[in-house]
Amino acid sequence: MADLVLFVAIPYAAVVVAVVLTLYRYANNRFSYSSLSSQLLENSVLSWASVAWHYAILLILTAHVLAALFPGLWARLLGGQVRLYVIEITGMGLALIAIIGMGLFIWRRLTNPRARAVTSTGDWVLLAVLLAQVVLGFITAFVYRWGALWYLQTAAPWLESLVRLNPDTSYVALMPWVIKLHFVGGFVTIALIPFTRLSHALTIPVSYLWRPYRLVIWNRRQAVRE
Amino acid sequence: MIPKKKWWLLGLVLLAGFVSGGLLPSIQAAPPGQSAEEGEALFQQYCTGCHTIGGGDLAGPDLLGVAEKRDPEWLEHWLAEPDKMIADGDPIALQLLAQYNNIPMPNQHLTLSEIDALLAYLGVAQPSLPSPGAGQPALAGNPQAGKDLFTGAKGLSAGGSACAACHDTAGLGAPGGGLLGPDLTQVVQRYGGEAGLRGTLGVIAFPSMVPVYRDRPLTPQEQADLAAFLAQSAEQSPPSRGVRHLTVYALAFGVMDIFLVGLFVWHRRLPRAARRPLARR
Repeated sequence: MADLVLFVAIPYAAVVVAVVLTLYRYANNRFSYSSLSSQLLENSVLSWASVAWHYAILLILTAHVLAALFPGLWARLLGGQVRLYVIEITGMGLALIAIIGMGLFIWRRLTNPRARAVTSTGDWVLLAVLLAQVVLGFITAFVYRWGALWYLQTAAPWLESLVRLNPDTSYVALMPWVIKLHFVGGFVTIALIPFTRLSHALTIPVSYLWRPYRLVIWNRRQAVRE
Repeated sequence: MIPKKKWWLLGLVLLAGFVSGGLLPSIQAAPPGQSAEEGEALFQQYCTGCHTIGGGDLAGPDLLGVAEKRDPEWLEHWLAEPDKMIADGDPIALQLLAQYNNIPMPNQHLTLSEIDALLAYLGVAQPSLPSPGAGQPALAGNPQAGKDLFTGAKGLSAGGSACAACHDTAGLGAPGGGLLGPDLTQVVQRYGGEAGLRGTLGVIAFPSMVPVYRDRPLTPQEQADLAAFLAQSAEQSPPSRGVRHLTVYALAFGVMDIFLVGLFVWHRRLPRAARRPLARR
């Protein structure tokens, strides 16, 4: 019964909430699709945190999605011990970078009064969930290795069964609780999209990854001197 | 235009529909009647991984004459829920568990009519079923081929997961195999030698492995190769968990350091003169 709630009810509820409310927000408050950047308020910590977090999490997310969409391709990519180790260890390194980035995000909003002033409850919930999710992901990868391989025979068929509207929890029912939490945490994160600034991910701002940096020039010299 | 508040209602209705649709229990078809022939087929399907009739012990006991040896009610209960009987401390169950290397008999979730068929078969079964390993003309297992199958260097023909996804063994160098499942270094001794292990790999009954391999069974050659590889690695002592952890830990932090250096280099390339005053704001 607990499995039905965790691995059937919550995933479907999360996706329905995400889709319905995202469309609702798009129809009614389109201008709110934004990361609500606080870069102009504080940039020295943010530039470290943001770069570390976004590059790491996007690569990790890509691996999760690729393996679920093309399990055959992923299996061939990992065939052979050395390739498995390279991909797994790279993933763990990226997870650590993501944890550092998220830690900096949270530290910045706690300690910088200007950033803290524009931080809502939703932001705190989002930061906490994302931190928990990457920490759980790293523990899963490290303690229960090699997840890049077993994902293909556990999480991938479970996700496929959800997409086919014929849910089968047997693939994930016997997993350790840390991994179960990571699975459920993924869907909780999806459910948070319409409620938080995470919605900025839906605009798929990938060109940020390679666009040149931009300078903001202040013309009020007074403010700079202060 | 639907008024604002009704949108939430619509969402709730959709949500309720999805959730109840997903939770609808599947209705099981009525089970067929039982007979010794059906029991034999069930025995082949569920039991031959660990049991023979007159062929000697494998991972589990030889079942020749088990119907006379055990009380029928006990046997029926045992086939229905061995896990619960062990948990409840049934004396015979505990004695069997200790005798067979603490390998618990998995609950196969048999229906009552399937159990009746199996009992009918066990009551009349003759020692005609040789053990899977001894009966067949011995397939020669190749330890190197077994290692390739174990690590995934060569895929299993039916598409099952490589063993190293979840299992470690001394036969692999650091950082070794997976840790989701148990270490398999000494598994040959526990499961009744190479022949016993082949049988176990032929009918995979471990609950967490059933969904992975039920539609992707190993071929007899793959069973033999893997058993040969595991028999070879059993000559070594199990790898140290600490050393394995430390290797992965060091490598992961090493990769993290490489990324951090990249981050620093990127940061240094930013024009400082323009950034500093901005950062101070």
